[in-house]
Amino acid sequence: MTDMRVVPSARLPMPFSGALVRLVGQRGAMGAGAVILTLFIGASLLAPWISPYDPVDQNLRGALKPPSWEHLFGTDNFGRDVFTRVLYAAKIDLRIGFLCVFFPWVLGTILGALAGYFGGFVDTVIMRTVDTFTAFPFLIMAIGVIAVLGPGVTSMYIALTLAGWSMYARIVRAEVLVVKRAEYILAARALGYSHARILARHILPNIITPTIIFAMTDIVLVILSTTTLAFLGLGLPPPTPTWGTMIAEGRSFIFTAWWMVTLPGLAIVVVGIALSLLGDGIADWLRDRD
Amino acid sequence: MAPLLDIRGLTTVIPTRRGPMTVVEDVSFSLEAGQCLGLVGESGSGKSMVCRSLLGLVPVPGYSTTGQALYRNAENSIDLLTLSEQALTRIRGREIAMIVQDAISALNPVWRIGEQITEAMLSNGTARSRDAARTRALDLMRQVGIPDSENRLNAYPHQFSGGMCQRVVIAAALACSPKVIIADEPTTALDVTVQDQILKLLIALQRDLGLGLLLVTHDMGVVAQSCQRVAVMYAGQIVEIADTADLFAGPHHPYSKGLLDCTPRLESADDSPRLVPIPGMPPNLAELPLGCRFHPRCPLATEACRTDPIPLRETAPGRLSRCLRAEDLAAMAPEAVFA
Repeated sequence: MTDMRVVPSARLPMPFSGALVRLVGQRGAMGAGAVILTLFIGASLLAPWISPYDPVDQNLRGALKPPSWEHLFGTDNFGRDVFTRVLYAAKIDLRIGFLCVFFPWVLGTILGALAGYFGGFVDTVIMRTVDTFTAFPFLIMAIGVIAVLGPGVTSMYIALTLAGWSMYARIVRAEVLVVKRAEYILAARALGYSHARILARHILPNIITPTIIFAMTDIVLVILSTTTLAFLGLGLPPPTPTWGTMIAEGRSFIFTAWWMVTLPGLAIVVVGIALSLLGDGIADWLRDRD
Repeated sequence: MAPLLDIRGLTTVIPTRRGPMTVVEDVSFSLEAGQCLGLVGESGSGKSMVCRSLLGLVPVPGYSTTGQALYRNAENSIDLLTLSEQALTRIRGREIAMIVQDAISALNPVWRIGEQITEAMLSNGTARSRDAARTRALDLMRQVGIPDSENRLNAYPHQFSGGMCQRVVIAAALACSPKVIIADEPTTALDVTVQDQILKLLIALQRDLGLGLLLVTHDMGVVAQSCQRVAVMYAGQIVEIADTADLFAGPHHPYSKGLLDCTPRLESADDSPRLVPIPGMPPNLAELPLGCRFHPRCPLATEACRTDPIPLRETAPGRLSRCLRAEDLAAMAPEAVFA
């Protein structure tokens, strides 16, 4: 996964999603992605009404029950309903996934724009910082930051933002370097607009599309990273359910209670495919529009 | 009346890999309110650099300007070359506005036409509110001859033709009521028929509003049509400056003469000599010839032209030329110089 982040336009090498795109076409694939994602988001928001169980209350007498009509996904080693936990986890995982793309996108865009526009010393300082950050593989960096800050939602945000912003800074800087030489920027300066105004209102709207395209393909990778971190024990502390921690906890029961690992894993796969279909679709649409 | 702009010895030096290069050297001229001054010369002669030096917009980091560029408004006179970037921002647009070469690319592709014009007023508080700015934008659009301005306000630049874009650019330049307009080849990117319309529009606006217009061009026809005075630039220097009528009647510098000879004229269609090109190429600014910069291409060059720099001197009342043989040139028959 760290290898994939190096290539800006990397798409998930998911043979299944490729086949689906061929099967139903670009628009249909995008629609399917949107529908699946909407279902997941809706179900996670409505979880308290969909499921009669509590995601954290333990019931040791009903532990390790296989899937049945009573417990659709079975129960885990503490007797908690796995289906309920998958639903509640969806909310947390998706929120972290989106915000951990949003924060780096904002930070990277601001710093990249400053570096590209002002050049010189500002450029050197920002871009050497970017080099330093990109020198660390994505997950190693995130693990390091969480190890320092301690597990939790806030440190997850900080870790993934610090690990992810540098790509955005690079993309934005390159685009700003092109746009700032445009005649309309010279014209804007000749009419007495300030640097801040030119950068924020004249340059940024022209360069924002490629960063959104990258962010779209980035979301899946970030969600997978959050589950990876959770699996490594660097996610949210128990008993809060996240897909990664659920898989990590179910690991030791894989031969006796396969559902504890497999079903949250399946949720990750389905959401991953949905996001990648939707993201690719939006990215293609933005590219065409340009 | 004191001139609006009084430029004395403007010199611009840009750093290059092979050391500093003087792209504008000792340029002096003045521009009065209601006057149109043409700045002509070949590509690379430093015309655009003069404009950009005045507004601190030379696109090379680390450039330096020396000399004086006095701008006089109602209250006081300011030397533009000594101003900070912040102070210059207040001058640009409100006192001196510049129109850049390529109108189509001078408009931001993601902004509506109306926003391009109102932005100028909103950025520096010239307009108090969005509504006021919008009303003024509509006025300006009518003034520069954009029909159906109510609807066009919401169009994007790519929906406009080159000529219409240039009208929008002019409207945006006029938005904050500047006293001086610097038009850097405003018609170069346009069709010939549209060029003429835009030029007439600029001149009409300049007369009506009593603006000082510095019109940069390489087209002697444009100069003849619109400017009262003309400065000819060659290799970073002004080689001749005169009233337009005088210059066309008899240039005092062989380079001006060459420019006139290679401009087609209607009235002399039947008996006229053919268009005569100037032989050779403009010099590389990094390897300027000694003495007169034009001497390698000049049929009148003498030994004296090849050794010492030639000063700009008064050859007639109100006329300056950087040629040692200006009087000889004036006395020659019109066809004899480059033929």
